[in-house]
Amino acid sequence: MSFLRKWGVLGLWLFIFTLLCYMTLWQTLSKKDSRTLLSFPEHAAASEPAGELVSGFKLEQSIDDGLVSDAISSSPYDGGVCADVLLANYYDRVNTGVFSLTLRINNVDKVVLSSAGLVANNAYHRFCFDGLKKSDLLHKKLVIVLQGVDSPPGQAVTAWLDGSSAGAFQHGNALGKSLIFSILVMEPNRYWGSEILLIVLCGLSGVFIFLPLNGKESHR
Amino acid sequence: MINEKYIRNYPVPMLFLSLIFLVKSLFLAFYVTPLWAVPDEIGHYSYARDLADGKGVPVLGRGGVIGQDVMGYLEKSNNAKPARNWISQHPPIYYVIASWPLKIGELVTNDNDILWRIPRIISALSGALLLLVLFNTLSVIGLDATKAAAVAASIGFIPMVTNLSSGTSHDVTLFLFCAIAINYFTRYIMDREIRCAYWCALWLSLAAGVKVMTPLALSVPMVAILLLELSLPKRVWLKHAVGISMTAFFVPLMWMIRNAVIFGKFLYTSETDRAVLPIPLNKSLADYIHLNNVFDDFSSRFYGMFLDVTPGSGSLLMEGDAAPRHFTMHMYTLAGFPLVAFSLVVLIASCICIWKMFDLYLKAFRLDDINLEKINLMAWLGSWAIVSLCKRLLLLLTIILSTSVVVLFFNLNAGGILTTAIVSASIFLGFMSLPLVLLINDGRDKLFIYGFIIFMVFGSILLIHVYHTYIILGEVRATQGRYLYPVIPLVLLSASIALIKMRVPSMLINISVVILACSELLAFICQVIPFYNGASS
Repeated sequence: MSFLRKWGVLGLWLFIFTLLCYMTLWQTLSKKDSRTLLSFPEHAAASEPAGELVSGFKLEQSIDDGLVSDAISSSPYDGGVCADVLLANYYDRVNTGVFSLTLRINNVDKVVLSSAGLVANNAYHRFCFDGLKKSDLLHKKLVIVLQGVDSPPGQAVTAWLDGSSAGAFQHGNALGKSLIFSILVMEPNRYWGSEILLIVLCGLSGVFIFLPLNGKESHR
Repeated sequence: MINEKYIRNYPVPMLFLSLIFLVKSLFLAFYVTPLWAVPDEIGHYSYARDLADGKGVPVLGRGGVIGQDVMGYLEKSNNAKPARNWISQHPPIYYVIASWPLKIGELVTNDNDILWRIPRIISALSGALLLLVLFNTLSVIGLDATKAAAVAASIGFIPMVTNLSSGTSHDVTLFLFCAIAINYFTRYIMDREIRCAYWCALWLSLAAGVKVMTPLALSVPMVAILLLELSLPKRVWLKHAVGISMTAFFVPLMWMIRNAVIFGKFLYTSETDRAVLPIPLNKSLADYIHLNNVFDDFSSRFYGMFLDVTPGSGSLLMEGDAAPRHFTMHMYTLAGFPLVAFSLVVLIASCICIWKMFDLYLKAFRLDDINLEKINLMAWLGSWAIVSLCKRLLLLLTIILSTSVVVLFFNLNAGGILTTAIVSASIFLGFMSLPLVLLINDGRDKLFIYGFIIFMVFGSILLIHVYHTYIILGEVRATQGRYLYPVIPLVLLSASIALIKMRVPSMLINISVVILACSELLAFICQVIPFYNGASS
């Protein structure tokens, strides 16, 4: 009992601190910084939905590779590539099935599948391309392709189109509109080391505050 | 000059806590806090460098400048002009100390990225020593070592204290000097050793040699209390009264005489010659507080205000310049869970202090044995409330609520509920302490009330000063929580006395410290570092 009283507070601190690190800090630490290679179209307005991403649906759009290459050259870290696309789920309807986003690089396809059930309404949905590095995009012809895979009608999501700019093609036909998307490169958290050190120092402070003092009390 | 008998009593964990704070501050200073990102850092650094280079104490507006290299870094230009150093308004003690590491650094390296950060070492050391001094003071009043370590360490968990400890700034050194003065003040009240009164006066004087205005607002009420507490024959009293006063005001007096000789005014600052409005603003103090969220500004900036600089972009008009400079200053004040958690801890401590105040009233009036309960409202309430816990809780709630209503009635509510409640509680505690000055004899009880009285006097002077500045200049200035640092050790002392007297369980103190420690960590990792990251890219 006296052991528990003596060391209990210290144990409690270590437990709470570990819990805090696990629940909050670990997420922050492992979070990567994103740097935009190609930003969303300026003054983009989600004017109309592209239609349900059901099986057979296909929407293509070319990317200005000059802009992407300039951005790639100005960023030192060669991180993974992701794309954010503005999607909708028809007023929080429960959707099923799978759809895909393809990044075609000089006619080589990199495909990411996503579950329709995970799409939030009127929000940017992130697709990250496994094994694709920023340098793989340099001076290449790029096309982004949004495709339905196996979602049935009435249970599929959609993508918003911007009416103020053109570029999107559906089954070879120009729509006079464009997808609302951006291309990002993921970089490691630059302050990772600093954050770890601050966590260690905070943990140690707690240890020294709650360390039993062998009955040493005030001189008064 | 801390008495050896107290130094020997520092437990090893407390020394480690201080060391950890030092490591944390130094690490932030050299690897995280961006250059010139601490308030007024360019000015503080330039002052220290003037002394390191043997140029002597700079004179405000007449040679005290921020160098071309510093301005060139900020403006990303090789042709930047030096800027007027408004920090030359301060006395030189901190800068003399900060110039030494800079002098040594200049012998070792000529890398500006390191050199410009070197004076930050003094703030980090000051912060680490501050924790030890606070621990010592809390031990003097009888707080046991574990609780004293926890309470002292809690100051190191205020992100603003950590931030300032990682920058070239006089604030933490001033905090340290005032804490040492308060340490001797405490020992004088507890032990009645006259030399402690002199040491207190000397450190107050040295504090005023770091920065004149704010320590003076602390020195005046503290010296008044020291003189009030001197119970000696008239002639001896007069001798010591003169001695203590002369010691306490020697350094600021010297600085004022220097100002009078150079500028023709005793209190000459960078604001003295500022262009004032042709007609002062027609706003009452209540309007000023309400319209400008003054109390909220003070509280959020007390807890954490962070700056960052983007060199070479934007335009910023500096003091004394005709044309804007090309750099941008970003400011971020902490918000969300860390700030709310800190405010809650302060509010709970305030409630414990009010609780203690009930006891003190009852004790004070019963000592006289003339049944004053019948004629004094507080004593009557106290005697009524002591009967049961429920009644006391009800009374506590009523006091907080009714003072808040009064604050709201006078339109003094400036922002959040927690801020209003804390301000209300401190006003209540300050006013309720006044009548007790001549009625209590116990040293700790006296320190308890003196803390709140001096805080009220200090806070009022600061509030009136910032209000006056607003009226004549037409802009909100100086609502900086760090200006309260000189008086914080006294408030901490009063709260700790309440913890002892009310036998607050260790668990409550431990929980509070855990909350403060975790809040600081969350603040740095989730808010401060992303701010530095975002603002600089």
